[in-house]
Amino acid sequence: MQLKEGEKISIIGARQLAGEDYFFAGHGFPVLSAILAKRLYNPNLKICFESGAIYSNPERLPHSVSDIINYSSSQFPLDLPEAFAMLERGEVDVVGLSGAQVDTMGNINSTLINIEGKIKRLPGSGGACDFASLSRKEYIFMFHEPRRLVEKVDYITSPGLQTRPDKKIKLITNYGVFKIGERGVEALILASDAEPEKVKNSASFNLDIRGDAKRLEDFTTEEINLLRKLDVWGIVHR
Amino acid sequence: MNKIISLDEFSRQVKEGVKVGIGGFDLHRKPLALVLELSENAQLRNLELFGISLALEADILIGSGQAKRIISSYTGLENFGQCYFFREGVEERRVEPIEMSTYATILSLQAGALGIEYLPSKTMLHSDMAKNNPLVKIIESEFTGEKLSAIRAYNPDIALIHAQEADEEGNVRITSPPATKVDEYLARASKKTFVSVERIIDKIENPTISGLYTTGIILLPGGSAPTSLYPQHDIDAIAMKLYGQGSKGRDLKYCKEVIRNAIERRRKD
Repeated sequence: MQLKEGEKISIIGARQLAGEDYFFAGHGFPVLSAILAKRLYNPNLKICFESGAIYSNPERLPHSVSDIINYSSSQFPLDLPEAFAMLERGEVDVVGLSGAQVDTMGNINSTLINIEGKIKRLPGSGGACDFASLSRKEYIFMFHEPRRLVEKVDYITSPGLQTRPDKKIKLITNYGVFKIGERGVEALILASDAEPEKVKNSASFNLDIRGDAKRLEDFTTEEINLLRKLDVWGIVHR
Repeated sequence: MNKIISLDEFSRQVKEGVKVGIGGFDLHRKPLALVLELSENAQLRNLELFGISLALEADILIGSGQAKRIISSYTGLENFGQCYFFREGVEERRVEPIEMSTYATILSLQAGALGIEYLPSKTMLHSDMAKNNPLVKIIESEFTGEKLSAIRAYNPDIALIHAQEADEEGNVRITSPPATKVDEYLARASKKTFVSVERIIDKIENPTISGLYTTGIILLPGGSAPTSLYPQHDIDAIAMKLYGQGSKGRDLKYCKEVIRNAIERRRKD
């Protein structure tokens, strides 16, 4: 079955969430991966939304972070201030984010792109900066493209490693899972069909791929079919 | 005192250059009927818009050339695309953006509601959004010496909110989250608060927003369409999609028509 690049991101992300207890899900890939993980690998995953829908279980990709299905399926339908206070207090410290660019420090840009001095404005980040600033462990979901994986982002919307000394950041792309740390960006797991040269050349920063990087098991029909049912309109998948 | 007023009376009380706090969140419970009314007043310009997460309501006011500044964490349509009037306004420097995180906007309103100067948080500390931001300053804790973001109080001149019900005394009930608490902060923080509602009832016990903090109640059923009104109405996805197309084509008249029709449809529901 032919997979779209975005679909690979969602499935790789879902497999990574198999071992997590709690997860604050940003809109797009993070929420889709979380729903998929909850159905296939981790039924106890406690999915939280910034809107205050806590321990939620939406039956499809929500239209937005405020979508009422996040509430109707939530065990604790609280409100925005409580959601962010859970992060500030450190009760839930694992988050999923995406954006337009990510750099070697794990900084994310969701605000503006500078194309040779001309500013292209983006919608902004919502609660992503709060997620990044107040979490211990971060999953960043991004298409593996040179314009997105950059040495230094044009604008730091959501800060990375500098937020705390014990920060852990994993980058999930259509080519695999990468660790962003003090020593740079290194491949942890590569998709079964990802050629190391292509993976390296598709990033604008130096990517460390060692021989001991694991290979991901092939994507299953079950994963693909369920994913397509969850993202009914193919919104995040291209 | 009877606080129920007409749409005209509401409109007359909103003056040029005011700070407008917009209630609701993201694509939920946005005061679109009130915003449409304001967008028809060509004299009303230089508005400063504030919202925790803005969408088509801000896009319309920017498209109408009425906003000079926008303070928000997000201005877009989520799955339905971008707010192109906003994007173009910022790119062409007609509109000044002040970048905030969602939590920071909430803390701004909460500080405004409490009547204090700022609230501290660890958010935004290393973000470029905190640089040259009139609402954020990096400080050191007096207790631990730890670095914190001081999020400055924000007090809108007027607040626009859509809710399920109100009574004549201006007590308001919003039946469920999200943004219920934030709208209560917004009402307390603002000098004047106008609330459009689905219905007027005799007496609201234990209101979400006390009549003490409201200025005028306007009966406008369907007034938050095409955004959702939990738990009664889901997002009007068809209208949102059409709005997204209209905004992309910079067709303001069409965009307003889409909203007007969505409100009318929901009113008849």
